[in-house]
Amino acid sequence: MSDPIRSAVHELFASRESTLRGTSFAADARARGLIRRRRAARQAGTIAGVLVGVVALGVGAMAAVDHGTVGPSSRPGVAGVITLDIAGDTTFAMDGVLPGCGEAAPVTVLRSGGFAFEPMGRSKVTAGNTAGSEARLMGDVVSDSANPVSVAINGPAGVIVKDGVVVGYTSWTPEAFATLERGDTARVSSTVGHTVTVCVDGLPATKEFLPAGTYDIYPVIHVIGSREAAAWRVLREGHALAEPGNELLPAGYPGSPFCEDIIATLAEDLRFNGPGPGGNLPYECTDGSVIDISAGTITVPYPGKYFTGDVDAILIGEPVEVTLVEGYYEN
Amino acid sequence: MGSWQGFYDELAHARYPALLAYAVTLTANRADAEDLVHDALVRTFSKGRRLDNAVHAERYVRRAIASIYIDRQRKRASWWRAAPRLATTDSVPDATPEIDHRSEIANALAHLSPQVRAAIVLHYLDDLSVEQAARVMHVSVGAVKRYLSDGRGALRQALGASLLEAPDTTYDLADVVSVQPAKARRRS
Repeated sequence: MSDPIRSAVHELFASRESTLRGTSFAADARARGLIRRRRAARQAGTIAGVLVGVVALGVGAMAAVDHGTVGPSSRPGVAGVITLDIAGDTTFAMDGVLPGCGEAAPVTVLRSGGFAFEPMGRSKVTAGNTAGSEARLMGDVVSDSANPVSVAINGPAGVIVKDGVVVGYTSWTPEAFATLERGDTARVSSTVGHTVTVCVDGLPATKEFLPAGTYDIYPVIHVIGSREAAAWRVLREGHALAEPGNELLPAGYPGSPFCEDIIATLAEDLRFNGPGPGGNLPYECTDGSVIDISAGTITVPYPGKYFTGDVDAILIGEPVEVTLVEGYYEN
Repeated sequence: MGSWQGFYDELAHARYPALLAYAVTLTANRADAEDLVHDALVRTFSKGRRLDNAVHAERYVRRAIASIYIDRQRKRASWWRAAPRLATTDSVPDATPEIDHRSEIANALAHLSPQVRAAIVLHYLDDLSVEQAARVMHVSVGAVKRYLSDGRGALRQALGASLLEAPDTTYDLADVVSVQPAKARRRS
């Protein structure tokens, strides 16, 4: 234990354990319920069997839509049904939106597709590489549409430019969702600091330092309206999965522990027990959504208010001159 | 009461603070840590594995915490593969108060990448060898060595700065959209 780092980490852990002493496990009842149900299902070999009951509905829903296409729905309030690839890429990635490493600086576009970007903050900032010293890219996305528009807003990503050439990118905010009417604003911001991707040999690289110095950072925002965006908005808002006969479980988006856990459990059963009589076990959600483990898809009904039309607008703010006072690194 | 419930009770009550502390050290985020402990307990006790005693069970749960955390970070990185720089935007430094150099260490840990932090925790807190940590993390030995090298650099710096004034860690991570209706905007 003579290593000072080892000692420090152990000390930190002991300190936290001491500080947390007396903390109770708030999710105890939920965890117990989940464990009991899963153990019971395993012992009885019923997970596959129980799910057979929903196969017909699941297969029906899956058959009605191809990946990425829309199916009709007779459910009240539901405008359509779409199948998303859970394990795949999202429609919200910035691929194709940001200029590549080594390319010329982007051109400012303050209005596009019925939206405008109104940047906030200073045109020149100094940023450090320690907590609290970051700069922020901030501004308002303003709708020019007379009618409510439901969109996902991705960004702002910061394109870092030196001498007119793209040399890196700052982190950006995953898509957030908003419904905007004319004049409504969506405040967007992201942090410049800590996590910077640096271009090396023309490609984004990790673990490379961006030297201290002055850079131009262009905020880039992607405003998206699509059926996929509508479905993800549904998922983000607290989609619910129902275990047959049991209470609802919060679930939803990629990374949701419940959704992942349920999918992982079912996938594990598939692996060890093989497919039951129902085949590949689509898993029905309370609102008619279906998770198909083997296909890695989730089929989601979405309401009309979340799909008001296709929007694909890229907004690019004026560059902010940022002086990095310390070496930046990709985290 | 089945045997799993006895061990579960022990971990979910008496050992919960220790499990939470472990998860906070790994995630640098209290809310994520609580979720991780929950998920690890569910994963461990949902399976019909033989658990010899509470210590054995706790070892399983801690390993499950690490595994779930690593898997989740990997999935997240994969999901957002076009956005690798999102790696730490959800990593809010833990608000658990620390004293003296522990605050610097906690702060330094919080700002490591998830992979580097996991390597540090597995190697220094769980006392796993580099090879063992590589197996848990499903990465190469070289990758773990690199993570540890990066982590040690940051932690050494933090330890060296322990007598200096603690930096402000209460920065704003509210990278969210807030909508202001046009009417309200016109009033302001």
